[in-house]
Amino acid sequence: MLTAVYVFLWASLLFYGLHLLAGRRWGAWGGAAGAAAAWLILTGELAVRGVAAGRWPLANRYEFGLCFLWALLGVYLLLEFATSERRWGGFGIAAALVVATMTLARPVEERAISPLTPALRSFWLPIHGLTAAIGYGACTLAGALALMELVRPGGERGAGWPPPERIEQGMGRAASLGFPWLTLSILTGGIWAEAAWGRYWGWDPKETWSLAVWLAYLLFFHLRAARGWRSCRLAGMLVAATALLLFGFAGFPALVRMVRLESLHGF
Amino acid sequence: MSALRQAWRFLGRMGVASSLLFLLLLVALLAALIPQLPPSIARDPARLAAWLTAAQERWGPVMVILHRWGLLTVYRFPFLAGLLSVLALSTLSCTLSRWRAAWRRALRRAAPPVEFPLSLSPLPADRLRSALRERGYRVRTASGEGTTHLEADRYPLSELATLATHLAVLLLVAACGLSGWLGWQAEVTVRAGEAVPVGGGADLWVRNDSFAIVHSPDGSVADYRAEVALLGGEQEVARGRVRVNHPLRFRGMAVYLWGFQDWEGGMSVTLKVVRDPGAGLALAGGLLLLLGVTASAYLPHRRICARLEPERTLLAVRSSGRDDAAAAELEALVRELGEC
Repeated sequence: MLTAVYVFLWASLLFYGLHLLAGRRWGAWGGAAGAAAAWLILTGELAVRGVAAGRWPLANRYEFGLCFLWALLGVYLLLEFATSERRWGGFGIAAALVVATMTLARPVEERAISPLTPALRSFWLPIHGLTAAIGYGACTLAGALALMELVRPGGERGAGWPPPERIEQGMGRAASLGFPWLTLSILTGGIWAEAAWGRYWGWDPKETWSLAVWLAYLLFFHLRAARGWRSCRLAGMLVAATALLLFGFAGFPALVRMVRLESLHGF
Repeated sequence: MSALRQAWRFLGRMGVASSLLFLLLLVALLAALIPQLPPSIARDPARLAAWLTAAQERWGPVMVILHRWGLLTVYRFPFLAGLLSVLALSTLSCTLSRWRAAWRRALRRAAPPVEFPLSLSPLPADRLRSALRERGYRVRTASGEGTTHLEADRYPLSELATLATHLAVLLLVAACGLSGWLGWQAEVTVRAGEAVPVGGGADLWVRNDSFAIVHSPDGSVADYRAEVALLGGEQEVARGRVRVNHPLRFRGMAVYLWGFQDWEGGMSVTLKVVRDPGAGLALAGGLLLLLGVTASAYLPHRRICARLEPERTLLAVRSSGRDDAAAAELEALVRELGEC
């Protein structure tokens, strides 16, 4: 199923690319149709997986990756619908492809539906996992739009691109949408940690990395409101925050294993 | 006195808060990338020595240097305590200097705008009023000398969201302090049928009545269950089943299932006994933070002001913070009124 999603995402990227770079109007509709098809297939895949497993599909990093991708595409489609802006579709879908690739790169055994370990049998698993997925999705989309702001060509070559203020608005809206979900995921994680391990905060590497990601996005909002940071500097800050977020999802667990850090978190 | 006041004002500047947040971010990255000593081990010299020996075997002699510099216990790092204290002061200063203005805006008593960036052809006041009401705005109008002034507000109370967020930061810092100073935890290993003192100054014993591993039909482990009792002197004061994610709670204390071992006479369990007086405050701070952040992001206060003159209509929108959708809403309103 993820292969079909992958194909639709590539097709969507191609169409959105034609819309942005060659000014083809039909490219925007093709891109949106591809993204919507990928989102619908993912929704079906997650529902089937959840029913077959008898639990929320959030038991390992492959399943979390599917939810992350689902949330990212959902937030992107919502933003496109709310703003009627399709020129940033290529960057949104490129971010989705990065997450899809990270998810596809997970070991094959994670794709098999397995029962939950006792540690994950908790009321808080779906709440903590889903809120994190939505927060990750929206904040990654914000980072993708920030990257668009950074690479936007100047002068006549950037004539077909959305103006910098428009992109800044888009990244601000996506980050504003995602930040409360990131906050909620840390809060629910703390409540779950208190019920499971006897402390709401334990300086576990995964927890501390999540705090670093949250602080990076908080800093983005602070710099934007307080210091009047705009365009490239602000976008650079957001790209750095998103790099931390994506590394926390894909790279950090590998680093924890590689340097043998001690973590109570499975992923 | 003047220097103190200047320092207090300096602390309240948002640029200072941003710098403190950046430093906190660096500390968090450091703490995530360097192995941190669990507090229970850091407090016990024998276990600390064993942990350090194992850590040196795993990561090399650099661990001794990191330990000497205090980087294995960032949570006890004087720099972190200082940083959190300054952040708390900065938050307090910022809050105290801005709460009056935020309160005025929340009560919709702020002065009307002096500039109206949008000029349209004349509009009937009733039409504009009903369009704004449909969008959830509360509208007030005042007329005089052929001109109608209209002020429309939506979600004015979210002006207090920043105050809520700042108060939450103060509560969270206080919770960290309370947990660190007054909280304690201990790990005890108890054989089946035996009782041991829980430690931490509590006059309580914990008894392991039984332990079982429950399997699913496919053979995987479904649950670990320990039946334990808390004893105060000779008397049993609490009893219950302790499972992963389900501790036994008793008067501000909680008993967690932390591990199990095979033993000749059966199974022994390792239980973690915790008292954390800061947990409730941390939860309150977390909820308040969520409320503030959500209100800021999803329900920003917007005020649309209009001056309806005989020959034109002037419009302005003002919003709390950086509201990326405010201009879009004004554009949509203008489109709806048929002005595009």
